[in-house]
Amino acid sequence: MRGLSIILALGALAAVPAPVLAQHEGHAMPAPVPPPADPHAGHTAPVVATASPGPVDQQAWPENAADAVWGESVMAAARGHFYGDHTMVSQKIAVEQLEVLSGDGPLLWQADAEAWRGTDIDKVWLKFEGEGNTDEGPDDTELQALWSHAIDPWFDLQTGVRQDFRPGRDRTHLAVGLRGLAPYWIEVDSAVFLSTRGEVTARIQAEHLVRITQRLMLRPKVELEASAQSMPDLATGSGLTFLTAGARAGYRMTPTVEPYVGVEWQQALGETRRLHRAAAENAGSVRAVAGLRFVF
Amino acid sequence: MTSFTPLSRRAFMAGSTGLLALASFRPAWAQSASPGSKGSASLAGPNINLTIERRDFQIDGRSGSAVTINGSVPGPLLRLREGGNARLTVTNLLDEDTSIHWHGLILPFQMDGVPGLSFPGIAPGASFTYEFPVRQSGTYWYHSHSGLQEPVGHYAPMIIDPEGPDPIASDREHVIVLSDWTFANIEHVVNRLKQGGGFYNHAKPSLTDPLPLDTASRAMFNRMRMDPTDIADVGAPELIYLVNGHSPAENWTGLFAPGERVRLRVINAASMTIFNFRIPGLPLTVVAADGLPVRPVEVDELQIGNGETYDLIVTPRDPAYSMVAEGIDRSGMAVATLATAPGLRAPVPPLRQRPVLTMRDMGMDHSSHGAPAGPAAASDPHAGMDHGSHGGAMPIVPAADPHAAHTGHGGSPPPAPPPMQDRSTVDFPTGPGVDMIASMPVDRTGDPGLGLDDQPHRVLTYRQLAALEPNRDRRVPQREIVIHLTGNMERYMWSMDGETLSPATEPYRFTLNERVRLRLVNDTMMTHPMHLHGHWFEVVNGQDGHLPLKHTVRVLPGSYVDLNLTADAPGDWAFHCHLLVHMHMGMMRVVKIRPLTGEGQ
Repeated sequence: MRGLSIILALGALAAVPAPVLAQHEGHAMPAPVPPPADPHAGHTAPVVATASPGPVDQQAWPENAADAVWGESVMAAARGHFYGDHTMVSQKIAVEQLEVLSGDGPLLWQADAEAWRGTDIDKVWLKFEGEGNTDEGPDDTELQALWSHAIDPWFDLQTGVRQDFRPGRDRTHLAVGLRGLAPYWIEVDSAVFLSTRGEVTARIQAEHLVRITQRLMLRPKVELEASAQSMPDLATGSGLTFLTAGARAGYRMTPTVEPYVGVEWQQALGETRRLHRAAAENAGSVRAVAGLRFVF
Repeated sequence: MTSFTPLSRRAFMAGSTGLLALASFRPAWAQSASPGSKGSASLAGPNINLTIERRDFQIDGRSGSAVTINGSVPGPLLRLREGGNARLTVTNLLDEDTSIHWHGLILPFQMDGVPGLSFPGIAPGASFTYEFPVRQSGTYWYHSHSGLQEPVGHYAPMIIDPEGPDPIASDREHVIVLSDWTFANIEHVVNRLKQGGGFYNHAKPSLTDPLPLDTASRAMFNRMRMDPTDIADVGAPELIYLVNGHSPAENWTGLFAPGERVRLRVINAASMTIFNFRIPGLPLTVVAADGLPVRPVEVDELQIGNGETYDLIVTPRDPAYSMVAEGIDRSGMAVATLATAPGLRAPVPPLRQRPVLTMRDMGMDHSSHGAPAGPAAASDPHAGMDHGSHGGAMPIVPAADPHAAHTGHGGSPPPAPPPMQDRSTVDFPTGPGVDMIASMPVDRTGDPGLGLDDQPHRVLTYRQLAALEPNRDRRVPQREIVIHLTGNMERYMWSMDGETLSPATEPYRFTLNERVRLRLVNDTMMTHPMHLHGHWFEVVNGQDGHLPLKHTVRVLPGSYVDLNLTADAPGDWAFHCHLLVHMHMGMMRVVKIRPLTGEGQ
């Protein structure tokens, strides 16, 4: 059957550019491109056309020239691939922090990871943050499931839901945020959250990678959180709530694996700070961290 | 079917010194200690059969899976004759569709080999016979136009001998196919590139690797979120650079006798690498570009974009020379040897310092040094042209005026940066896929290529190329189409006029035999080798009357290149960046050429 199509093809080859092609379908150059009526007119310079057009009516040519040779149905599927295969789906899983923290008592840990899958413009984006200690397990974790939509060369608008898992204090939020790369290579992740209890909170996080060598990396990072109302069950007041600043120095063993050590300072702010003090809790802490960063 | 001419005795002796193991998957022409390709070691004749199949491919003792033509990487050397007919039957033994595009050939569109555009493609288990008249001579190549098959081995050289005497005389010739290879899964590589800019760049700016840039430039790059060390998408060690399928360690060797005129037919068949080619100690006389003879130019080095071919004449006299093709990012190089006997070697030069992008590559160079647009622009009869009152043709934006960049700022530090991410200067939509619009692109056909400005020796520039034959079509182009090469380095998106190829993409439409000016403006920070199928275009480089004809042209960052095209081949043709992954990402357009309604004779 291939042989047959080749024979047909050769027949058609002989016929092109002859006026035997498929019917015109009203597509006479959507972009109006009326060239000079006769390219040979008005030029004194010698002109040698290397292909001589036959007495062909261009309206006899189909929009897709190959249809005239191989047939429209044969070409249709291949054409779909030719035009359509440039929207690639890619993916990433990045565990940006998986670390233990210094301190008294049971060993503290925290994790920060994200995963996405999708096209250049639209992705499904998951974010996970968690912390806990080895005695009691996770005591404060959250998962966000977002639709990430590119709105400019560097930033995505991310909308979706956030679920907090805290013993007895679970919350579900609507999340709207911006994530991307700001000038001077500052990675920014910001969001506003509206919980099912009607609470509005926000956070913004900025991180910058300082390469000391091709392998030695320093990553300063700062995060500021705010709340529009006080949330007594979370010992959080209204206004600015927490400031976290840290720096992690990593060694890039491979482009995807980077163990690190660092320091992290967290400070409760404003009313939140007073609430913490009233509860005889630490309103601030400085801890050493050690962990691993890796990417799939 | 694949009846290779037996190896010469000399080559066989060389093979017996340890290369026999390689012989089974390399065609004779590509085997080391080759006496040359002249008249031997090739597929010729009225009926040629090519079989595409998956085979193991070994480099440095390591085995990978390749898509091969007749079992080898590169595939067999095709030797055709001008004035004859080519009849090539391709059998697909893959489990996916395949195709062969005859790169640089002037032929009927339906034989051009782009699946979905010129023909349906070749299904698994099927055969397809290409048949076309051979209307040209010179150095060409052929490769898959399906998916990502070319990066994994589906490429091979093609020589077309002239009907009459060859205008390029030589005593011996060697085909030099430059390519790149990765043992990583190519889809995985592309995914890594999509995960974020610069995954494979192992020489990023760091505190201990200071950049040779002034503070203002560095601040500008950082503000723009542009990495001045982003020269190639992928480099060594992930890529291994090959000469005729041989790694540097395998050291492909071509033989010569002292004093002979040796013709090197150099083809860049790499999918991701632009090469800087040189043979230390041996001047290179460029005698042909993209297959067609040019007035001989002697240089010491030249940059070769993907899909370009150059014929070089060398007259070696020493026992051995190293042939070096350095990746444009200088992370690695392909190395081979020219020698009077197998086993001889010359010193291999070390990798040179990596190039760094400058403000000039951003298309915002205010200084007066470098190559002005003068000669080409002055000789360029813009006057008679219609700057785009028709749909599809765009006016040249004022900022693109080549003279604007060269008025008055002689040597002073850059003033306040122009709004280079200002999209209002272009009339196509710019979304997330366009991270930059060059505010002051200049004509860089007088530049040797990224990183080669300051070499102590002669490096070829496009402006030096002059066609041996006078240009046949001297008509002044009546229309100018400005085509922007666009992208987003961080998101790894590549496009033309801000749009990746899709069913909604409007093609470029030309009337048969229309004379049109194409201005390619590079709004990205990478060099893009742009290839138009089925045609020659003239590079407007000031060599009036002898503008060089090419099928592939490198457009340097921050520059524009003007091309004159006689749209003399009716049909649908592909026009794309020949960095294969860029094409795969959609940096491609269709050119539709139709006879004018009612035009006769």
